[in-house]
Amino acid sequence: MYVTPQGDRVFVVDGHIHLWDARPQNRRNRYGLTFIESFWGSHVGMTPPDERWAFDRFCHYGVEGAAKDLFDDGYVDVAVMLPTDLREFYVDGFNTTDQCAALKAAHPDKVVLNGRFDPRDGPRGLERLEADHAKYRFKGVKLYTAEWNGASKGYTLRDDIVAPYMEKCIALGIKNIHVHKGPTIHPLNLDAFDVRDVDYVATAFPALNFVVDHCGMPRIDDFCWIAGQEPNVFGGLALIPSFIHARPKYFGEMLSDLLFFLGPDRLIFGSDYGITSPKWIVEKFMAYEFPDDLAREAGTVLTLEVKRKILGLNAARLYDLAVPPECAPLRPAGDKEQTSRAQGDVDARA
Amino acid sequence: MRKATSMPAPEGGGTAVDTIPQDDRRAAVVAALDTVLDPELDEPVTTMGFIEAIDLGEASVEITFRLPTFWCSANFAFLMASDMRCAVEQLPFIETASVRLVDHFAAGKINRGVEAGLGFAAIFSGEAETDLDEIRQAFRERAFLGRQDRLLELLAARIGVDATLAMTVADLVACSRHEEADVRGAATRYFAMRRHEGAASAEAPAFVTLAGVAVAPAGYAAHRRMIRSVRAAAAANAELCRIYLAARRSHPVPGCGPEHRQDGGDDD
Repeated sequence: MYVTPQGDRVFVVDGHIHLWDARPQNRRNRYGLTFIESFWGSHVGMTPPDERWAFDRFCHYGVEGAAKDLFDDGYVDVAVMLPTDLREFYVDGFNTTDQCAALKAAHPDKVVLNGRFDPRDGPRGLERLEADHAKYRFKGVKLYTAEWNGASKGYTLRDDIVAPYMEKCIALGIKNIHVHKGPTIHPLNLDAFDVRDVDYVATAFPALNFVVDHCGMPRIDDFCWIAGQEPNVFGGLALIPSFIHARPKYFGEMLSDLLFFLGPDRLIFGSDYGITSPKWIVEKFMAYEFPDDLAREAGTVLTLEVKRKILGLNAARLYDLAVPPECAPLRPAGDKEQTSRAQGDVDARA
Repeated sequence: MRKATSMPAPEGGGTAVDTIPQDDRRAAVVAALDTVLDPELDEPVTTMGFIEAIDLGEASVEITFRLPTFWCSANFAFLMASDMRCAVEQLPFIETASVRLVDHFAAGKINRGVEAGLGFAAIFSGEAETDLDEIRQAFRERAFLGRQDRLLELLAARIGVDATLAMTVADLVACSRHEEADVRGAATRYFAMRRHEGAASAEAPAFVTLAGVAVAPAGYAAHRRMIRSVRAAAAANAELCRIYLAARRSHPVPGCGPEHRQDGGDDD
């Protein structure tokens, strides 16, 4: 819960949380070291100097560390955990569902624990998803289309192997599909950068919500184009708010594009924790205002209502979270206003 | 690898290449590298800070380059490595040029591949399925729109939208000699791509969509809104790269420094 200087209460859902273990004893190979090195660069470069961690803590902050950073210091009411297996790099995995479950066990009312699957695992993967779901009762899953799996160097959501998994999610009541579309490991093929497959699957499965994590960065423009046309596609902001300290100008430009093409009801805040922490991001975001030109480009100013939607109310809708009445906006959330204003006569891609 | 053509003989009154001062030769190498762009960011590898070392020999040069992360895209890394080698090989005083990517997951494969003059598909046989030309084209299109956006922004503010959109390719050429450096630079950069994209004649419209259709005043606002987001995405991405690279230098992770480099590359 964030409280403004005027006393307004803001419900905060951090939609992109990890609980990882990159300690030396868990690294399987040199990739385990260089992977956390890349994350470290982001932490160092994005975080205000007085908020930076020591590298050892960055490798492992544990359940208590996360709870302090998120719930005690970081204004977070609910944390959405997104698992990343990476068992080829880490002995017990990097940030697996089981690892993330430890935070859920310690703070059951404050944590949404999501699952994962890889459609290339075939029937075995479907069975695992079912078993995991029986154990954890997921409302969402996280997918990595660019991840390597045996001989495969990635897949797309257009592939035939994907549909049975989407149907399984619908059957199990898992309605939120997070797709990592952002900076990635082993990026070899163009598909690794492509967000267009989201368009396909979002149309094919209108009952599901697709949260494109990192908003396709570095292809935010492609993402905006696709998401503008698909009412069940959401922008998972993680990484974009992290710019707010080191590069506020670029943060503003990206946010204004996202607001223009998607509107304020389909953007989900995420701190990308532990790469960056919600405390300073939430504080700076609440203090941030668009310069006039960006407000014009965005088609909106960052009112308290817009900030409330981005920081918590949109995610609360996806995950059926109870929002305290004092944090609700004055007017009902604009569920019916999800279409973008920007389509139709734009011909740059024609 | 030895260059196919021999060094041109110095002409009367010219400077013999072996008497070019070391500093000038280094400056020439840097100038050659200035022409090599990161295809994803549309910015020179030099200003991005990717060049770690230039080791000049008698008639040889070795370029060492380091990207912002160990996991930067192999395809862009390969394109930059081969483009760098081509660029410095053009210099009259260089007979052999080598390029060394360091601290990268595909460093060994890329370095050996570029040394042997192999293509990307051969280097990553069985791994990369996408044609590299397709990637290059995709980013050329983004660069085209991004450069166009910058020039439209500058010109519309000076002469208005209608006059800007009425410009021809010939006007664009004139614009590349504009009195203001900003406009001159933006026009030169945009013209370099407009020329290639449409094989445009002098009378052709200066500002066109990717499909080659002239941007009309009626669609201008929507067009600008779209291409502005293309430029903003690339610019933010370039900033992210700068952030990573600066952090990699200022806060090295134990075990990831130059002393831990593996000779053949990390993918061996």
